[in-house]
Amino acid sequence: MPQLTADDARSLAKQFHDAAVAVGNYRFNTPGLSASAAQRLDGLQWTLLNYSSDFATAAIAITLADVQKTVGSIDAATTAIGTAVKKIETLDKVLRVASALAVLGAAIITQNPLAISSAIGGVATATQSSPA
Amino acid sequence: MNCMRKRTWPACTPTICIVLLVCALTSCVDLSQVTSFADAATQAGTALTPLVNDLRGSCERLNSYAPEGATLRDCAQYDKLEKGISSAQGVLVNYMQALAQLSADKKVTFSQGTTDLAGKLQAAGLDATASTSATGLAGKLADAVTNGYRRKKLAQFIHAENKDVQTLTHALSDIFQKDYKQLLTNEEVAMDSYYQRALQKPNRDREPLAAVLVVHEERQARDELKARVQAAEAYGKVMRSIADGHQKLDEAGQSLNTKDLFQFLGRDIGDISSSLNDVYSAFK
Repeated sequence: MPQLTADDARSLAKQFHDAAVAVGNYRFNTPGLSASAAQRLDGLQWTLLNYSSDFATAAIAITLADVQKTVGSIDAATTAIGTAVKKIETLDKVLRVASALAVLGAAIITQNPLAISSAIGGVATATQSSPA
Repeated sequence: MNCMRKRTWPACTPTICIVLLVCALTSCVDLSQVTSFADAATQAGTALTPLVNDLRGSCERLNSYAPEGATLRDCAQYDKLEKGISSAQGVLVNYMQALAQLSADKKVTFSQGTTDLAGKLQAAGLDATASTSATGLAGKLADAVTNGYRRKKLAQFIHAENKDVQTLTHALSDIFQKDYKQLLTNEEVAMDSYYQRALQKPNRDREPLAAVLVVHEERQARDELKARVQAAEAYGKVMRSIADGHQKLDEAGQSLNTKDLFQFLGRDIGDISSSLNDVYSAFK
C-alpha cells in the first residue's frame, strides 16, 4: 500500500474539516432537534474535527521526515561556513605579521638600530597573536 | 593626491594602477546587503519561536471547546513535533547567521589594526608621506584579499545550498500556512459550536448576565485566533522572503556587486520585517 504523502494528509484534513462544518450547520440550523440528537451531532462533529486535526498533524510529521536529509545538508554547510570565517580571521592575522615585517624591512633599510629593535618587537607581538 | 593636482599622468600611474588593482580584487563589492538580509532572516527565526510553540497551545484550546463527555485530544504529541520544527528552523537560522558572519566587514579587522602602522613606519625611517601611503595601501590590499575570499566563498556556499534552502523554507512555510492553519481552522469550528451551545435559548434565558460575559469572551477568543491566523500567514511570508532572497543571491553568483542586489534584497528584508509585526502582535 503506498504511503500517505503530506499533500494527501492535507487533503483529508480539509475534507474532514468540511464535514465537521456541515454537521455543525445542520446541528445549529435545524429547529426542533431533540437534546439527545443535538448531543450525538456534537459528538460526531468533535470526532470529525479530531480526524481533521490528526491528518493535519500527520502532514507536519511527514513534512519534517521528508526534509530530514535537507536539514542535515544545511547543517553541514553551516559548519563549513564557520571554517571559512575562521580562515578569514587567520588571513587577517597573517596580514598583521606581514605588516610588522614590512616595518622591520623599512627599519633595516634605513639602518636605524632603535627602529630595528622596535620592529623586531612588533614582529614578535604580531606572531604571538597569530593562530597556532 | 599631488599627482591629481598636477595632472601629470606618469606620476599618477602608480596610484591609478593601485586603485584599479584594489577594485579588481574586490570588484568594489558592498556585501552589507547580504549581511542585512542574512541578519534579518536570523532575527526572524528567533521571533517565530512562540508561533512554533503554539501547536500544543492550539490543541489545548481545542480541548477547551470539547462538548460534554467527549474524549480529549492528546496534546503531548505536539511536543515532539515542536522540537522537530524548532530544530529544522534552528538549522536554517544558524546557516543564515553563518552567512551574515562570512559577509560582514566586522570579522575582518586588518584596516582597523593598521592605524598605528604609519607611525611605526616613520619610526623605522620612512618619511611621513611614504608611511601614510604604505599604510593606506596595506589596508586596502588586505581588505581586497579578504573581500575577494569572502565573496568567492559566499557564492560557493549559496550556490551549493540553494536547493536545500528552497526545500526547507518551502516545507516550513507549508507547515504553518497549511497545517497549523488547518489546526486553527478546526479550533474555530469547535469554538463556534461551543459558544453557540453556551448561548442557546434555554441557557441565555436562565442566566442573561452570564450570556453577556460569554459574548465578551467569545469576541476576545475570536480576535486572538484571527491574530494567530495572521501570524501563520506572516511565517509563510518570512520563509518565502528568505527563499526568494537566497535564490537572488544564487543567481547573482560571483557578481554579488550588481547594482540590482540592493533593490531586490532590500525588498526581501522589508518583507521579513513587516511580516514579523504580525507574529509579534499575535504572541505579545
